[in-house]
Amino acid sequence: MIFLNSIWFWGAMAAVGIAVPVLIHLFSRHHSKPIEWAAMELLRKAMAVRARRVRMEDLILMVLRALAIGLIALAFARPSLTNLAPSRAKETVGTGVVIAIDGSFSMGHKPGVNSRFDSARQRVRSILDEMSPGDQVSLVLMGARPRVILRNVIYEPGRLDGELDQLAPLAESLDLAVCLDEVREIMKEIDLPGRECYIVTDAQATTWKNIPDTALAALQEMRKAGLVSLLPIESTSAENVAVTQLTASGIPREGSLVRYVADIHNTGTEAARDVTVRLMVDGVPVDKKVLVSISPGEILPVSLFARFSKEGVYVIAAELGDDSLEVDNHRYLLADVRNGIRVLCVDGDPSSEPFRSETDFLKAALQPGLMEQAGSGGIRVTRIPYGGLGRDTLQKYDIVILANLPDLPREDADALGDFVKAGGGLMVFLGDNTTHGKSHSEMRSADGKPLLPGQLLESAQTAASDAATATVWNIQTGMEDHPVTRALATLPKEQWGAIQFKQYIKTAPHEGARVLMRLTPGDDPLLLSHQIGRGQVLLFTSSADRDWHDMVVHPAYLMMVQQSVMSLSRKFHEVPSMVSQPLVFELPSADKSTSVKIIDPTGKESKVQVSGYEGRRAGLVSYADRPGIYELKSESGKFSLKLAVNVDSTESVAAVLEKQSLDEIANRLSLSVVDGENAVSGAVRTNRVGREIWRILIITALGLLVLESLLSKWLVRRVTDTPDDKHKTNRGTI
Amino acid sequence: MQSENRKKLRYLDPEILQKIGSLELVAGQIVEGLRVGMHKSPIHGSSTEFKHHRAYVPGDNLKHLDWRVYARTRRYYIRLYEAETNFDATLLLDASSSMRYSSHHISKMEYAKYLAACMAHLIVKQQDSVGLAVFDDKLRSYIEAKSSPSVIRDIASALDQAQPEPRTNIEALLHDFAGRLRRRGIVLLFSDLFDSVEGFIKGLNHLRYCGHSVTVFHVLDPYELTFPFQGASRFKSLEGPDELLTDPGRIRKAYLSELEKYLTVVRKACAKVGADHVLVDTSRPIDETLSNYLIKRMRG
Repeated sequence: MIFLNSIWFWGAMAAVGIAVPVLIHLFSRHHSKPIEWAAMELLRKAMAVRARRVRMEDLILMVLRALAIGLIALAFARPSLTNLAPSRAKETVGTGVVIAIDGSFSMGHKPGVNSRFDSARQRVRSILDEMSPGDQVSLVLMGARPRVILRNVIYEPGRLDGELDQLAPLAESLDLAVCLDEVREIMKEIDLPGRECYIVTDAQATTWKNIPDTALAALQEMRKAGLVSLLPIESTSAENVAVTQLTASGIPREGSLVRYVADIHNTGTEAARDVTVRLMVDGVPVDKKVLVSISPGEILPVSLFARFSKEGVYVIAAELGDDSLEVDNHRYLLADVRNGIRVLCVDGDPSSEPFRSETDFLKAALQPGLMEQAGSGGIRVTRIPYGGLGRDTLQKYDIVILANLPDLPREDADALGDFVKAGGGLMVFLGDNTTHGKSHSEMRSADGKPLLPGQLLESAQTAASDAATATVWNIQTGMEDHPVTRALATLPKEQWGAIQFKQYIKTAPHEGARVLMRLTPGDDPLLLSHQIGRGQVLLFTSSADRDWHDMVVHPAYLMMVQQSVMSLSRKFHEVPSMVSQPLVFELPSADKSTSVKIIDPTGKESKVQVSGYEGRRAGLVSYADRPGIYELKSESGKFSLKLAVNVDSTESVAAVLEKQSLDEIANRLSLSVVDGENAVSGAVRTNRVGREIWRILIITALGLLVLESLLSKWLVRRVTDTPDDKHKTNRGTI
Repeated sequence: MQSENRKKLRYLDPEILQKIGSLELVAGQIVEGLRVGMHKSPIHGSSTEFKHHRAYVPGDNLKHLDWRVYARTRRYYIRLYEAETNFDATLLLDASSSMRYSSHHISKMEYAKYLAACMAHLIVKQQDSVGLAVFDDKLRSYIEAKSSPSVIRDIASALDQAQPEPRTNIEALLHDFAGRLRRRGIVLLFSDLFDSVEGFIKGLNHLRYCGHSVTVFHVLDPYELTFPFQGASRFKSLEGPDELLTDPGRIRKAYLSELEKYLTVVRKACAKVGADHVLVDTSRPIDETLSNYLIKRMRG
C-alpha cells in the first residue's frame, strides 16, 4: 500500500482525530456542567443500575467515533493498494506505456455503426487520457508482423490523435508470437520506473484459443517487466460470410469454359441467407449464384464458370455482397490462358504394342477418350523415347514427364534443373531402368539443390515365390492437402483398397519436400513434391505403367495424373500469395532493368530494386499488405507481371474467445483483464497508482458515524422516556 | 414598622388568601378541642348545640332526621348540630439544605414557607390554634400552637428567619413531636422527604399512634420529577460533599423509575397510617396547590 498524500500529515491528523473524542471525554469529566442537586440518593441508585451498561455503551460509541474519524483522516491520505503493481516503484510519475492494438482484419468486423477497431481506438484514447507529461508511450499495431507506430516517445497530449485516426485494421491475420516478441523488447527498453502494456484485441478465438508457447513466454517476460492488461473488445456479433478458397478445376485455355470453385464459408453462428456470389473476370461480372441459405459453420463450394476468348493473363475474382467483414468478401486468382499445356513424355521403355510402352497409360490418362485427338483436353502430349534431352527441346514444353528412365547424362540433368527453375514442371516415374541407377538421385539444380524431392533407397517388392501370402501395398487414405490430392481425397475410401502395389522404391524425403501420398504398410512415400526455383517437381516412387501396380487401370490414376499436370503447369504467378507474405519476381534474362515499378491494389506505386544472382535477376516486395492484384512493370517495359494476393481465411472466423477462457489465460499469466470501455480509465489509474481505497474509507466512515448516531439515539431512547410526558404523569399524582 | 410588618407578612399574599378565603378549611378528621370553633365535633350531646333544620336531601344520614317535625309537618328535616370544638395545628417545616434546590424562580423551601404561612393564616382565621416548628437535623425554632392572630406574625417571622441547613433528620423530629404535643391535633409536614424513608415512616407511625392527624406536603421541584438534564453533568449534593458525574439523558429512565418506587413507598406508608400525602410541584401556582388540597379535604 502506498499513500498518494503525506501519510505523516494525515496520520497525525488521524491520531488527532482519534484523540479528540477521548480528550473531549476526559475534558468533559473536569468541565462538566455542575448542578446542585437534592435527590442524590435517587440519582445514586439510578446510576448504580445503569453504570456498567452506560460505561460499555460509552466505550462502544467512543470507539465508533474514533474509528470514523481515523478512517476519514486515512482517506485524505489517499491510500492505494499496490499489490496489483508489484513491479512499480513508489514514484507516481514516469510511466512507460506500450499500447499494442490488434490490427488483424477481424478487427474490422463492423456489425453496426462502429467496428471493433473503432472500439479499440476509443480504448486507446481512454488510456492516453490517463497519461501525464513525462510518460513515455509506444504504439504498436499487431498483424502478421508488428508495426511500431511510436517507440518510447515522450507523451504529448494531442500528438497521438492524428496517429490514431490514421490507424486502420490490416488485411492480415495476427501472429501473436512475432508481435508480442517485439512488444516485449519495447517494454524492456523503457527506463522509467513504471512499465505498462495494454493489449487491445478482439480476442479472436482462432488466435487466442491456442496461444503459441513462444507467445506465452513473451507474455510471461512482459509480465515480469511490468503490468500487462488485456482489453478485450466486446463483440455482440460474430456473423460473417467469406470466400475462403477460389480454385480453377480445369486448365484455362483459349476458347474453353473453365469452372471455378469458390468456397463460401459461413463463419457466424446464424444461417446466412440469400448470399450472392459473383465471378469477375478483369472486373467484369461473368457469372453469379445466389445461395439461399448457408448453415452456421458450413463451407459451401460454389461452381462459377468463365469462358476465355483469347490468350492472356486474366484477373479472376469471386465476390460476395457486403456484410460485417468486408475484407474477406473477395478472393483473387490469375488465369494464364494459353493454347493448351504442352507435355513431353520421355519413355524409358518404349514399345510398339498397345499399352506395353511405359508411357501408354500416361498418355491415356492425360488425353482420355480419343487418344489420337491431341490437345482436345487442353493437354498436348508428345511422347519420345529417351535419347537425350536438349535445352532447346525442353523449352518447347511446359511439363516434362520422365518414365522409367535410365541414368541421365550430366548435361541432361543440368538442362532439366534449369527447366524447372525457370518455371517448368517435372514429374518422374520410376521403374526397372532406374532401380539400379543413381543418376536420378544425383540430379541437381545449378545451385546444388537435389532435383528430386527425395533420396532413392532400395527397392521394395513382393516375394514372387509365395504369391498367396505375399505382401502388397495400398495407398493410405489420409493424404496431405495439395492441389494434386485435393480431388483424390473426394474418392470413396473403399476404392483405395482395390489398388495394389507390388513394387516401389523406398525414398527418404529431402528437407522441404512434401509427401503427398503414402503406401501402407510401411508408411513409405508414394508421391512427393518440392519446389525448385519457380518450378515444381513431383516424384512417383513406382512405375508409370502396370508393371509394379494396378493403379493405372483405376480412375484414381487418371485423376492423379491430370491433377499433377495441372499443378505442374500452373505458373508461379498463378498461385495466389497471402497478405503479409513477400512477393518474389524474376526478370527474364533479356530484361536488364535495375528496378521494377510495383502498383499495389489501391493503385499506389513504388519501386523495387532488382538484384542479380548467378546470372538471374530478381526482386522482392517485402510484404504484400493488401489483398488484390499487384502489378509489376520493369523500367524497360519488356517485363510485366500480375500477382494475386488473398487474405488468410482463418482470420475470417470472427468469433471471439469466451470471457471465461480469456480470464483463465489471464489468471495463468497474472494478467489483468479490463472489460468494457468505461472501465479502462479506472483500470489505468489502478495500474498507475494501485487501487485507491479512499472512497471505501469515506463511505465506511460515514456509515460508522450514522451507526454511531443511530446507536446513540437508540440507547438514549431505550433508557429515557419523554421528559414532558413523565412530568405530566408525576404532576398527576398531586 | 409598617414595612416591617409587611415584610413579615410577605408570605401571605393577599391575592392568594382572597381566593382561599371563600373556601373553608375542612379538617379531615374530627379532633378533640377545647375551644369553640367551626369544626364539627364527633361527640354529640351536652357539648353540642342544635343549630337549625334543613330540608332532607337524599343521602343524608337518617339518624339525624327530626321525626317530630315530620309528625307535625309531614316534611323531612334534618337536625343540624354543631360542636364548638377547636384543634391545635402544628406546621413542621423541613429546613434542610435539600429544600434549597430550585430549578426556576422559587425554591422548594420558599414554596413550603408560602404554603405553611397560608395554612397558618387559614387556621387562625378559623379560630383554631396553629404552631410552627422549623427543623433540619434538629429543631431550630418552635412556636407553640396558639389561636391568637398574633401567632401569624410570629410564624411569619420564624419562617422568614428559617435558613436551610445541611442535614435532615425527619425521624428524630417526628418522634420528638409525637411526645411533645400533649393534645391530639393536626400535624402538617412540609418537606421533600429526602431523608431515610424508613425513618420517616417510623416517625409518621409514632405521630399517628399518638392520635395526630398528619398531612404530608411532599414538596418537589419539577426537575426532580422529570429529570430533564442533558449532557455530561456533575451533580453536587446540597447536603454534603458528594458529587456524581453522569450523563443524565442516559440514566433518566432509571432515575424516574427509582423516583416512582420512592413515591410509591411514601404514599403507601401514608395510606397505611391514614395520613394524607400531597405531592407538591413547585412549578404550580401556590393558590392552585392550596385550592386543590382544600377541595380534596372537603370532599374527603
